[in-house]
Amino acid sequence: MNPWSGNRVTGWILAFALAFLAGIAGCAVGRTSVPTAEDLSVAGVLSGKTNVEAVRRGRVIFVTECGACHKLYLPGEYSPQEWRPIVKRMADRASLGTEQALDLDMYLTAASLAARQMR
Amino acid sequence: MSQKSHYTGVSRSALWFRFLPVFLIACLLGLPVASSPASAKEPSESSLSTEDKILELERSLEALSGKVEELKKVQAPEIPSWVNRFTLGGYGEMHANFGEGDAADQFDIHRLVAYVGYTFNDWIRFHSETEIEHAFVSSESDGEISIEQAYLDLLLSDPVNVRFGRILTPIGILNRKHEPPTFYGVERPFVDQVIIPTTWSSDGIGIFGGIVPSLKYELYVVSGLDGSAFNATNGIRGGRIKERPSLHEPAVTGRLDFFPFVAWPSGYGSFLRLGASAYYGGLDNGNRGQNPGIDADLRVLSADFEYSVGQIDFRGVFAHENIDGATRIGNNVAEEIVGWYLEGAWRFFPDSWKKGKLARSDAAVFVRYEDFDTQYRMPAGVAENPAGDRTAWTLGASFYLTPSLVAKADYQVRDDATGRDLPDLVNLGIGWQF
Ligand code: HEC
Repeated sequence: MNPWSGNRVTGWILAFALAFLAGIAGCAVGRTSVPTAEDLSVAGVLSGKTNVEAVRRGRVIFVTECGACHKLYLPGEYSPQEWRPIVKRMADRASLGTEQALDLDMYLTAASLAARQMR
Repeated sequence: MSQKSHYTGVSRSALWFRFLPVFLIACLLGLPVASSPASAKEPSESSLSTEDKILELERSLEALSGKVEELKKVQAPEIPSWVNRFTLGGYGEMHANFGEGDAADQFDIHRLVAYVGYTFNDWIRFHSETEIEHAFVSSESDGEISIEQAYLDLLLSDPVNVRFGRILTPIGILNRKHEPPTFYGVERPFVDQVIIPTTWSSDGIGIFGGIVPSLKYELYVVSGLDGSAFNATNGIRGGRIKERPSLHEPAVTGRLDFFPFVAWPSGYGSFLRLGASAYYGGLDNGNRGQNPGIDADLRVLSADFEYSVGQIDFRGVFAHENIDGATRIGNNVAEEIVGWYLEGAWRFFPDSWKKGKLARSDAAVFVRYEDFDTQYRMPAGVAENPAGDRTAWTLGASFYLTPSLVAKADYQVRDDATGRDLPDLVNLGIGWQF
């Protein structure tokens, strides 16, 4: 089939329309909804004693491991109390080590608090 | 902070607590505190005035309560008992498929899958998925029982971990992430059935981990495919060996995933993953070590992405396959096979509807365009079968009753290069994971 015939042209139109939409949505939404350790520190949800390095690692684990089997559920979608059992369950599913699970728990607790404060 | 220091942190503050009342009473009575354990470590303290000591105490109390708050947040998960070591789960999907005209209409318990995982210790995990397809298995039916995955993970370090057993070949999106709530549309995309033959399991051993925090990899040596079962319209799909695959001509396969929002945290959107994957191997493999005597190689190169921004989700896959020795296979097998798709979805369910029974519900509409050709480039002297060159539009909606249970409906318009009129399809389905 000629790559520019009927149906195929509409495919390319879809491609460009989606890229356009992504651009608009990106600008409308603004910065990422997955806050960094620095964002959380500014939001005041980390106590002076919190290990910021662990929170940073927790975010990396969240972004790179937690979208592997389903959409990335955002930190603000659950309360800190709701996150704890979920993290425990998901750590087993995602083959996370004990330390990684603790870092993730620390990150989600703080990020969930921050999201709740903003409401 | 290592895990160990969390625990030593616990016992240190417990000690503090135990001595705190003694310390307080001693201070209040204005007695010399030289005998208290804290000051034993810091003899200079005995020269402080009472006010100073009270101030000091207040400060350490403050520090302590901070510590306690932190510990509450970072409680170590309890050590699992025997039962807690199992992770159970599964997924399933039931479909009703309707075709235009005299195309078949059917109800299909398409898949029912049981997941069993086991935690041997904090660095050895087992994962498995066992599947029943089409609800009934006999020698005459299409139904099958098969082990989709069964592997051990040895978690050694962030950069290198070992995986052994039956794994999901790491190509594309759907082959590794195919639980119904995770994709739009009732049936899996055509590209993920014909070009990347989902579910494509491979048996072998490999390593995985993170090269840097934003870049993950997987690399395996696995049992290969059976080239004699490739054909004109299903491409490499028939070549999967599900029983006792031959290890005659193994394959190498791997992937890289880049997460820009780790490298540049202030990107636009909530999730972005860019992936590239590859597969290379000989095709002289069969079941139970019976090799078909095929002299040919397969190379697959693929790229994929997933992007979520606001309420919009995008994903796309591209795959190119090169079959070196297609002439020797025969069956009208092509030398090159190509396919891609692009999909956009809008999760439109407003927050104001998320109340009561619908508190965790969501809904989305989506559109997907697929272009795939199992006869993309033919060996010299072999005529192209135009039925291999196809496009498909899928328009549909998903309603998530709760995040892991979804009801779906879609409409599919297909086209191929034969000029025939392919019946449009209507599909309804429910799917879940637990
Ligand atoms: C190996 C696959 C896998 C990985 C990796 C994974 N999950 Fe899940 N997740 C599941 C399955 C299966 C379910 C549905 C069953 C359940 O809730 O346990 C689920 C459900 C969820 C839910 C919804 C719970 C509810 O009922 O509302 C959340 C939230 C979640 N996962 C978060 C995470 C986080 C955070 C991570 C990162 C560690 C993660 N997941 C990694 C498989 C996975």
